[in-house]
Amino acid sequence: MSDLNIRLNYHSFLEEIKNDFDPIIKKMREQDFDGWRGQAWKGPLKKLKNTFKSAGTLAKIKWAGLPLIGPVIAGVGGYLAHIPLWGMISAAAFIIMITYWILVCRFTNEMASIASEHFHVGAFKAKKPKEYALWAAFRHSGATFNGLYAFMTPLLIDASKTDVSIEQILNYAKGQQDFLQANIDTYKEERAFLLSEIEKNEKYVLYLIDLLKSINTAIYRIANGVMNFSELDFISAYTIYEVRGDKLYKFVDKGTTGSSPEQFEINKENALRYAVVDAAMSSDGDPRYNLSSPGRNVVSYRMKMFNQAVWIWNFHFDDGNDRALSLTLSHDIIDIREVYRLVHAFCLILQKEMLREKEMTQSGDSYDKTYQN
Amino acid sequence: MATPMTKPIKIEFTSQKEITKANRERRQDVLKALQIIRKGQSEAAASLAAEKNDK
Repeated sequence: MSDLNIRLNYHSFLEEIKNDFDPIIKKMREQDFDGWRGQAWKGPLKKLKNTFKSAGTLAKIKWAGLPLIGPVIAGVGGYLAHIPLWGMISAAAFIIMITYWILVCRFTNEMASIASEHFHVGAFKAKKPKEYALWAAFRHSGATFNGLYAFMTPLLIDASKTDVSIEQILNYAKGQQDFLQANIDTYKEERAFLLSEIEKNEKYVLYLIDLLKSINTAIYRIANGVMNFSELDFISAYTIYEVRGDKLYKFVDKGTTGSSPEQFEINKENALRYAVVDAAMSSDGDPRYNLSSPGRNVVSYRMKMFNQAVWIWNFHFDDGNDRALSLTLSHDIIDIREVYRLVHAFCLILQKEMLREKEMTQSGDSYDKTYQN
Repeated sequence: MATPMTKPIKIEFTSQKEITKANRERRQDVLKALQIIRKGQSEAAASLAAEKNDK
């Protein structure tokens, strides 16, 4: 049997039973359990009334005139004539009572029958408690077979429409799922970006803490009178040149390969090639930068010193030195000018000490010897 | 004239405060850009799905 036939069978079945069962269910819900006994006693009387009404035509028949019936009535009448009146009345009353009681019992059975027009749920429950237990669910529920029929019709008959509805629901759910998934993906990307930002900032904090430690050590060494130019490598290897006339003279070289020239001519040609010369010739105060060899960076910073002296500080570091790159070239997280000011400040302190010692020794070339190790 | 091998390091911000502010704005811009990109991708996917359904 095809799916469609099964659906149609169920639909027809519901259509048939709804008209039979719904009136009974309706009665069950409307009636209460009390009062059925009074109806049971009155019921036969009402039925007799109706019976007598419909028997009006029969009363017009002259029964005694009918053949066979007339002699029977005459015989019975003759027999009864011998019985005393009180006996006849008692017998008649007894017969009537017994008969009526039988009629009441029969009427009660009708009342307990679901299919009867005299059905009463009280009689049904009293006389057929097991059957009533099966029907009790209908009495307490608000459902009807007519309602079930109406509910099932679109599902059984308009199946194609229902399929569309389910498809629409699925599409909607899919749309919602895609929307939520897109949001989740966005949040994941945002989270990844923000985590990378946190890591970058943490890295800078570590660099700055590391720098702070070095500065603290340097300050203690100054306080203890043992600080010298060779200890300013808290960022990277470095050289320091001094401007004397049209030349630059190197007087400190710490941690480099040592290949930096001892001196430079300060001219435009060299300024194009060497950051140290470019910085020496600059007037804007911005640091200069060049690659001394592939992957090897030099960042030069012009410093105005005491006694109108001009020094050029040069950081030397590889491309892989993220700490030095972050503290001298990359200015997206911290203000790197403060790093330049830091080395400038230390240089001023050391120059001051150098000048003081120079005054004490009165020796013109003292700082080349004193501050190089 | 030879090509210069040296470059000045131009620092566009005048203080750490400005750098921090710029960083905050940059982060907001990146987050907005991510949302716009994702929205565009979602719309493109929805449009593709609609085209498939029409066929």
